[in-house]
Amino acid sequence: MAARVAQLLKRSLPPLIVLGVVIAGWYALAYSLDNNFASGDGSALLVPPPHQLFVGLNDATLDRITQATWISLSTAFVGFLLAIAIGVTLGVAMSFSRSLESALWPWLIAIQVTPIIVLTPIIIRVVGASFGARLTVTVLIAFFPITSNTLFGVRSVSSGLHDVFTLARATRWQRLIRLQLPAASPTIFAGLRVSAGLAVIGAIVGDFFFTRGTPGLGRLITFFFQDTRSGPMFVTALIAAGIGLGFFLLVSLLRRLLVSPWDQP
Amino acid sequence: MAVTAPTIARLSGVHHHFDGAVVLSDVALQLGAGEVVAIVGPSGCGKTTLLRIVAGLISPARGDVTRPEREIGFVFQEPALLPWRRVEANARLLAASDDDGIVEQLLSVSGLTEHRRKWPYQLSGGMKMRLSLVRALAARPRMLLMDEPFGALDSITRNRLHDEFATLHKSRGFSALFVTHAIDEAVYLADRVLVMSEAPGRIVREFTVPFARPRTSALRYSPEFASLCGAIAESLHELAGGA
Repeated sequence: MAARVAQLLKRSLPPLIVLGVVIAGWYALAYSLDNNFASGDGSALLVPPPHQLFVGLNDATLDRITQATWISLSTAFVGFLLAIAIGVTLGVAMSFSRSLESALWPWLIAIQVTPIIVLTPIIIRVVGASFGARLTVTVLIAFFPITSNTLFGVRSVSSGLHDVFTLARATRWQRLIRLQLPAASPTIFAGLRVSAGLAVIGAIVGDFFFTRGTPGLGRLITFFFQDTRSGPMFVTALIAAGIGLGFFLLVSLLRRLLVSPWDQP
Repeated sequence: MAVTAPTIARLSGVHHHFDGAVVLSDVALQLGAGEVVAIVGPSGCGKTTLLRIVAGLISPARGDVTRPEREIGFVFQEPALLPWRRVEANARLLAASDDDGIVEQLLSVSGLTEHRRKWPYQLSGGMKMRLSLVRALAARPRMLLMDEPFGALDSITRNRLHDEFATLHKSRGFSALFVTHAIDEAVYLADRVLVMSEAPGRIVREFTVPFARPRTSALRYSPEFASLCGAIAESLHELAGGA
């Protein structure tokens, strides 16, 4: 027990030290900016020090943040699930057919390298300013790492393992389900980790262009920015960061449960 | 190449090439039911290719191959285990779903019962090889093919696995064709030893192993055993152009 506590401390200490440094830097920044406390009532105008984050968070503001969080969270989550379904399906399909791969790959690259902020207004024009448009933006930014990692993972199964399944006269479906996808799962999870963060970015960046309806975190942060409400703006940013971190941790937990027990060096 | 038991596999006039380089030329062999046959030969003579042709993993460029339609087991040079399945699940991979008994028996004979809940990465090299053998035999093959299955193991582990293989062969009665670089291994395990020439590989010599079964480790130190090993080694030496 004591050994486990010591190990936990050893693992937690370095990031906690960095957190301390960040908070210290944050205070230093807040108190070194000219005019940050020019309002005269002690509240910050530009960068609130950490202890002032929740100053000015009244019920109405909290309601807006809660609604925006729900919109961005649900967009990122559903978009991420769709990106997984589409990404894995595309990766598997391309692993089966070189022709399909050569037909699709350049276009997938083109989508990947085009900044999502350029595509978002086009998507809203085509799909309309709906939840579907938010999902489309999220899927477009998040699916590619899953597709490329699935393709690479499925193709990288050793020939020896394929021979075992060939001798067992496995069907293509059996080979996919019982051999290729499990063998590719460490690689697929590496793609999921990247895509989890991208899905949150897609949900929030896409939101900047939605001028109607209840705002998500992206548009809400611009409102707070324009109103010079630094405290709520920082809280909103921290929530967005927390959602991204939560997605990353969720994928890491799933990997730890499903892959780590057997995927040892 | 006389085979007294009914033939389970037969190759005649088999040729094969890779990218224009001929690797097998006019290969003929027979494997009798219940027989154990070893193939020895210099590196690169096409032994593995021959084994894969017998298995049906490669179609020969020319020649006739007769083999069981199903019920072929293969033990590869590498254990080729599924890392995401525990020992027991790997052992059951190719077994019939209602054939629990054989998996239990094979795990027991191979000393893996107490390791059944382990992942493959937790096993030693010898244990992985045993598991690979168990997996192949759990499918109740009529014909077992093995490609240098014991080549990566230390001599103590290898000798122990030889005896485990002999025990399994006695109890299950399958036919076996295996490739090896170790002449003593070929003589200890096989009923016949086939010698292949350098590439393009052909079977150029055949040695019948006269030792009764079950064979014990004492056989390895007998003059007759050494004499037969010496004759096979000399044959290989001659094929390599030695004096």
